[in-house]
Amino acid sequence: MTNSVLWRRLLIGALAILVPVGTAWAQPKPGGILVIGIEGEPAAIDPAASTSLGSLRITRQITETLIKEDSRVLDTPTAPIVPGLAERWEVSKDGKVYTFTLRRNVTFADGTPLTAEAVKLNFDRLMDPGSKNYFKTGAAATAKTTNWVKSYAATGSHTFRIELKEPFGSFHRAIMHPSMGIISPKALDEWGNDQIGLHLVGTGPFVFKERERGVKVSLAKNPTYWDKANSPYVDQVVFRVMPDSTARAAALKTGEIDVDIMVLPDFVEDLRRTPNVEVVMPRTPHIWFWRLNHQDPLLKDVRVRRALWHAMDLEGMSKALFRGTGQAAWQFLPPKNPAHRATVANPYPYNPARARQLLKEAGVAEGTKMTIRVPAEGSSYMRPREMAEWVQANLKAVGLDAKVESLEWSTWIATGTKPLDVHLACSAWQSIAHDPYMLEQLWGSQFQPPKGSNLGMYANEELDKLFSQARQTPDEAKRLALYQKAEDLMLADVPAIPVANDFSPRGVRKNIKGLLMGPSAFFDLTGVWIEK
Amino acid sequence: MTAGSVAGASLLPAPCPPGRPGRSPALLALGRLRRDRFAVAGAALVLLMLAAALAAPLLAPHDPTAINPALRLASPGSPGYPLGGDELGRCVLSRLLWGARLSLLVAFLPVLVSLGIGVTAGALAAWAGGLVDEGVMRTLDILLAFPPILLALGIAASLGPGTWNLIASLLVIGVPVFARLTRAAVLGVRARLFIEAAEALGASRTVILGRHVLPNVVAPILVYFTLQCGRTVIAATGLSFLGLGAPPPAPDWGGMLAAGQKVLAIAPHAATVPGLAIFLLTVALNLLGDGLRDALDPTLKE
Amino acid sequence: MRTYILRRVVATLPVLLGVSLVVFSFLKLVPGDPSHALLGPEATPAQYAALRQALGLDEPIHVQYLSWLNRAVRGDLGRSIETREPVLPIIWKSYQNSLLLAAAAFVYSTLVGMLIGIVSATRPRSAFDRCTMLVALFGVSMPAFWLGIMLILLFSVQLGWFPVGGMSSVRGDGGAFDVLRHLTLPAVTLGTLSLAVVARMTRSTMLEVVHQEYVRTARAKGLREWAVIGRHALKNALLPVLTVVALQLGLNLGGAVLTETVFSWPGLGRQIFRSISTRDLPVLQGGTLILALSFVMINLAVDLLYAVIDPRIRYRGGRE
Repeated sequence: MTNSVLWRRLLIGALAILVPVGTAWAQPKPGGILVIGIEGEPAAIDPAASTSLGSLRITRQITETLIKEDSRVLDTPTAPIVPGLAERWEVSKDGKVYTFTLRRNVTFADGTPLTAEAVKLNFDRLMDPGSKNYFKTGAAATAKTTNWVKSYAATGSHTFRIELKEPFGSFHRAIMHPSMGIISPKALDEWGNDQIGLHLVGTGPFVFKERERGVKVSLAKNPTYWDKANSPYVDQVVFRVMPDSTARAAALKTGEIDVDIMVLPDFVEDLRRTPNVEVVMPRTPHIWFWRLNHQDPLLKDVRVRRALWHAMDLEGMSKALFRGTGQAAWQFLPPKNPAHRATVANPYPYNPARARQLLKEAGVAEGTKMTIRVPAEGSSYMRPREMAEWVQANLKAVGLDAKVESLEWSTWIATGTKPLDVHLACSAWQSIAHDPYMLEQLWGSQFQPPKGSNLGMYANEELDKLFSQARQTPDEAKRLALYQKAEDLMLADVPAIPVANDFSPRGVRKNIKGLLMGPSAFFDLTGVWIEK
Repeated sequence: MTAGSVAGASLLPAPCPPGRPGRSPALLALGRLRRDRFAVAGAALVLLMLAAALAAPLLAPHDPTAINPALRLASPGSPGYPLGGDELGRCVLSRLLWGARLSLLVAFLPVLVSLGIGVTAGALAAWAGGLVDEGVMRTLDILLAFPPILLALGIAASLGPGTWNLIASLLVIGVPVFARLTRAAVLGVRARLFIEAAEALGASRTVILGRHVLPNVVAPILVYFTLQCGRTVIAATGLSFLGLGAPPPAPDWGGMLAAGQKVLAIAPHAATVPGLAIFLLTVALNLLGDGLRDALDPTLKE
Repeated sequence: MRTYILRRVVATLPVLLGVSLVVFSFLKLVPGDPSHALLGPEATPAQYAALRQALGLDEPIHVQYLSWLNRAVRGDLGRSIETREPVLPIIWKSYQNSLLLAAAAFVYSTLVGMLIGIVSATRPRSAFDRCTMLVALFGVSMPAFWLGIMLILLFSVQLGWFPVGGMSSVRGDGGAFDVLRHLTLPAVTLGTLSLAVVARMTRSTMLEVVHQEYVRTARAKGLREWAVIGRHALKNALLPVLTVVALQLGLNLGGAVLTETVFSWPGLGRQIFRSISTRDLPVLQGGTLILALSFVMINLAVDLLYAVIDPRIRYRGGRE
């Protein structure tokens, strides 16, 4: 081999190694505007003003909670819980007192320092009617968390203490909810509850820039963000309101938006084929299930409930309707919930013959009428109408005549204020699906309306005992085991029928790097950078 | 609104010119209509759709609600599915035929009901006069102050998805114009009668005028009815697009269009077939309406 | 004349009051209230009840209406329940956006529509006439959102000539040209129906007029064709066409909700639709009132225009 050929080969070889390595180590480039297309107008940009996911996803970039979920870890059975504004916290032996040690040298975006007093003022806003900035709406919205709190106090400049009414093992998850984000007291004093939604100031990686109703909400990078290692790269994030899903998918294709937060299953194939776009599925904890009306004589017999489960071809439905954006579910605890077990088998697989047999045993006549209720649409609800149609067909095949009632969104939510008055009503939960405590919130007898969302009026003493025990156990491992035992009981007694888990497909343009969407309903934009 | 009165006025035919042999104006109109090829085509198309709707149980190859995932988005011409399958694998042709029933019902019934209400209200207002007239007119003003689609939307959005809710929301739109047309026509005829009588003309003139009363009232209403049916089809489609149409699993052209639109890129037939059906129905109704308008206005020289 | 205008203006007040009453009762009769929209479906009945109470929705109905009315007549339209922003600026901004869209559609549809109508009327039954009337027929027969989506797929996704939606580009300043680019497709979508209506109406009234006595007289007098058309025929055909054009403007102002949804245009139609879904009464009231006022103003303007163009029409304090 001649020298020149050898050199040439060496050069090519070197390039072949260095170039890919070099691009893999490409440095994130700061700057640029990240545009995220959202399907609905957010409510006021105030963490306590609303509990809708759409608004909270935005406020979570601006305000932070004492503890938070790390939503950027991808391959994990559940999103890890990490320190937020509190660098550590201790729980007393009896499980009733939480002491948070706040980080030092953290300032709000307006320069005021983060102190325990600031945190206390935020709690006053939600819990003390006598306080200056008491926010009635916020009090109602955050009731699920604040109802546990007996008292709270700033016990030092950077220590905050919360005492609970009774031990509650999942309190750290409740306090993690973005509606408990800490707002700058100075901003609250200056703007008041009515206007803070247009002037939100928090400690988060982004600051509120502007809002144009019907058009967008813009956030800008927070230059004084305390977590230097996780400061955002992009200059601005714009949440653009695009209500029509076809238009949104089209905008993703043309590059007018960088991220489409809600991609319908039917668009997924098309987007996958589009060169500059990829479809990401964070698999956030989510469960879609049929509530069963336990006050209706038809459903009182457990055999009938089991028969309904056997009658539903959920695998077939998942294949037909979700196109890989969701899966059939047969457990109440969704995947990515810490108590979820991958080893549990479907106790009542699709078996119309068995369903018929059970119905006959229970004395249910052929052609018995039923009503199924679904909303016409809804962001966590996947494809409610088609799913109802599918189940309707399944039920018809086992001799049950089901009528589908499809309700407008607000009307649908309004039915959630009282016990069920139809046989089956669907329900989809995302915000609490990361916490096994949700089992009690949905099926514990103390949570029947009006106190809670057990709309089916299910009551099971044995289950309640397990729930009570689990709720009060401070030890995480023991608690999870108790909830798993509870779930086994539920799988036997069928208080509801799990149907599906949504993978939450999102569309992202390929030049958007660092967008790590782990199994959390919320996402973190600090690692994101735009490759030109 | 002035539109109604002016439109009514321009649609009111002038009295029969003297010297014409006494042939019924209705027969004359019918003759003109029959010679208008486009109007005939429109009428034929509507009748064809009506026939298809009625014969749906016989013509449809499959159960329109039978879900078959294997044939999801099957292309037209697939075995057993001449027009292909929709996103749940149902036969598009069957859904089209059965959907014709719903779509035609939604096209005609709301307009028919609003015609009934509107004509009654308008005639009452014109005949009774005074406070009753004022009351009816003010109520119509309030109704007309709402943009029609928003009116329908508001009612449909709050009642929720449902065939009868859809019909209820659509019928409100037509009422004001029917009322105004009727009122204008009746007032016009009354005024003319009064003037003629005051000029003490012979009874024969009154008889001739009497013969013109009916067409005066019927003509613009018939035209508006047909055209409004076309508009209602479009409005119903729009409401289905927004999710307010017929509930599952009922086949409904608007609902099929809205669902098919989501898979447009990978299976265009799911949207274009119902879209074409809606389009043809509307075109047919418009052609018929135009033809009626031309036929019923004897001043229009050809 | 002046008393007529005054009387008409005064007559609008009961109409506006009626509109506000209808809207109020409507939203109260319908199931669901703002607490449901704000909290979403994953809240407890106790939370909804607490929020209802916090928002003042448990007060007696007439108290709620009257306190709204009391503030409204002073110009205070309250705050949006959904976002707590003051209603008037929100409504005003969306109204302006809708006005822009409606105006663009108006210009497009009126100019092109009248032109087509006039030319078709002067050449009845020609290929041009048949062709354009066919296209116009298609225009009134096509659902607006369908046309919109087709246009997006062709011109935005395939060709990339126009943006998919919104009123202006979010990435940096666009300026007037940017808005114009965003305006094109929605204006064409919205205006197509109006264009078809205007074209057909112009043609039919022109045909009526062209055969009238005085036009034939003018022709017989030896006037040139364009003078005949322009000075005599058009002026008299103008009245009904004007009515239709004004009607279309009014319809496009409030009825563009589907176009606005498809193109994410931040207009009043979409705003109103959303306020119905979220049961946001202050916004709904503000939005419908401003639309009602617009309709009334447009009607008045058209009636006044009539008086100017055709002095034969007399006024007797009311229609007819």
